[in-house]
Amino acid sequence: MSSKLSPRKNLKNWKLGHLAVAGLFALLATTLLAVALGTVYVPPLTILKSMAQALGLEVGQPADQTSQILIVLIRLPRVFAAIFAGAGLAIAGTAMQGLFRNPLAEPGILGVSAGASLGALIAIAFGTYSFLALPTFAFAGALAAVLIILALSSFSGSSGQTTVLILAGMAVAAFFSALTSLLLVMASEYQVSSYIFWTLGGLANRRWEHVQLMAVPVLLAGTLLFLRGRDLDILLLGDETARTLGVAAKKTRILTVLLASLLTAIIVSVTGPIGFVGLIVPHIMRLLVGPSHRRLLLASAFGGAIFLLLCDLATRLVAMPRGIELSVGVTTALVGAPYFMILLIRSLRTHA
Amino acid sequence: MPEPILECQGITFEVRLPQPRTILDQISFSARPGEVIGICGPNGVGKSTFLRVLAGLVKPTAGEVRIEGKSLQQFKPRQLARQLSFLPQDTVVPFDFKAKEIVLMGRHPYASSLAAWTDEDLTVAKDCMVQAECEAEAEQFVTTLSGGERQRVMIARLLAQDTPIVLLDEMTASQDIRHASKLLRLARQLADAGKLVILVLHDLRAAARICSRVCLMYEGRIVADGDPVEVLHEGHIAYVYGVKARTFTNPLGQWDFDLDEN
Repeated sequence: MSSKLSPRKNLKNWKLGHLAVAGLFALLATTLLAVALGTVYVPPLTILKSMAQALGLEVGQPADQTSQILIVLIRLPRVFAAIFAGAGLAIAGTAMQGLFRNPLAEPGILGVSAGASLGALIAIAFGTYSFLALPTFAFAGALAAVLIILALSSFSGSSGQTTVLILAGMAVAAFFSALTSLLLVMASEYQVSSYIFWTLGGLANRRWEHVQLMAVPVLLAGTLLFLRGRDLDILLLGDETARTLGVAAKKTRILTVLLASLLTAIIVSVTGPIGFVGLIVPHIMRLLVGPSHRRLLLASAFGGAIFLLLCDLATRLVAMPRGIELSVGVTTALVGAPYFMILLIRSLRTHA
Repeated sequence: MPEPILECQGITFEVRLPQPRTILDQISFSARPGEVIGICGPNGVGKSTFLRVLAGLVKPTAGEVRIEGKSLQQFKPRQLARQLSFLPQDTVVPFDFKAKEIVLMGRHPYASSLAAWTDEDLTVAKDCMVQAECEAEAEQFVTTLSGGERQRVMIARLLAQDTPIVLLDEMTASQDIRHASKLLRLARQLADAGKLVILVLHDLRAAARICSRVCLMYEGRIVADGDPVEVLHEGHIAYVYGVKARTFTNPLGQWDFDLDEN
């Protein structure tokens, strides 16, 4: 137990409301930092001003037009894309880990990423370059994967369902990957490289339209899962105990799988697969705030948003002098993996 | 005598796979508040399945279970959770919940699904942990507890659910002798307080001492049902378990038995 910390410093003793307020402040601070830094430095006051101006509020001295454009049309959409993608992936990861009773489960476990990749490649192969075409095709691919898996698992009783889901997920992922390889062999060099670029996952050049695509599903799925938080906790005692405690186990399970997969599908279709956020953020947050789902979902949403925002900021800053962009997926793994290992060692030591 | 609270008629449960087999065969049964009923019998005769049918966890192929005349199917999940609680043989929790958080989950059927636990919930949970002798573990992670300690936390969780019907599957299997005897007495006290307690038990001595009634199961049927000492006589034990037992009253005046090992 991490009992060496004083009660106030130990986040496990914090009330839900306090966690929410702290998370909100941390997110706001990170947002200002991320908008401020870049090739051109923008002072936080100017950012707040132009945000207010964009919302139609009266401000004393309006911000000049260049920084207005830079902030509202370039940096803010990218920052909000990072916030919603990070929060959504972390929420989906939390739900999947609880559902599979396994801290190693991640949002892509049901073949969602493989489905999305196939869809994206089909969009590229057809040469559709409108900004919505690729997300739409990727989402269709991810949705196909989820539906096949749910159909397969409906044949099994409630007992073996988790195993069936995992096995079905592996089979579907393998099949979709094979189709993807097949298409890649037939594709042109240019198509192959645009596909590879997409699979690296990134937030560069994301517009407000992309943010809109993600915002509603993330908020909606996050709220629905949060409302089921206690049911998800009780489901961890096993289906039989959960059912005798009045939890509709099967319904909760299907709803959770559906929400988490759709959420992942939408995000992956906009940003490409970004690894590690959905796997490690929930795990880190569980060590910090405890395993209870309501606290965990809230903390993971903020943690995921802040984590991806910082990773994207680092990616931009590293790339700045060279004029090329790294992919944010690379940074999430580079930063996340070592931190994760440190936490793991610490938790193993306190458990022994 | 009070009216029966839990009844079933003609319960049959068949499985088709791997080969067609009848697990439960036309069981009829009724139980009243205040009874402690032991379900005994060899491995694989359907005791646990029968308990799960009574708990509404397994849907029988034929027949139905009723609580105060109302079919289990007609209860909403939460309503049923206020009537009946169930303890499985073992519960493994994958994440670091504190023991007291697990016990509080027993209050779920009464709690608003959004509000925090009330002071009453907290008091009940604490009392139940004292009754199940696990209050010392309240702040510990349930993942770090031994099997026996964890099972006592789950029993406290069941007590917190505070239902008129209590179903226990092998409650004492992982307990040391002190805790086993304490928990069996606790089952007796629950019945004295007006609850119906049904336990699947392998320990025939315990069954004879704390149960008001024993149902002996064999091949999917209840072959003997009634006063423990009458049900657990040598002929029945020989028929059901295939062993030669000699039953006697021990110096403390309790029912006991020896096995003829040859």
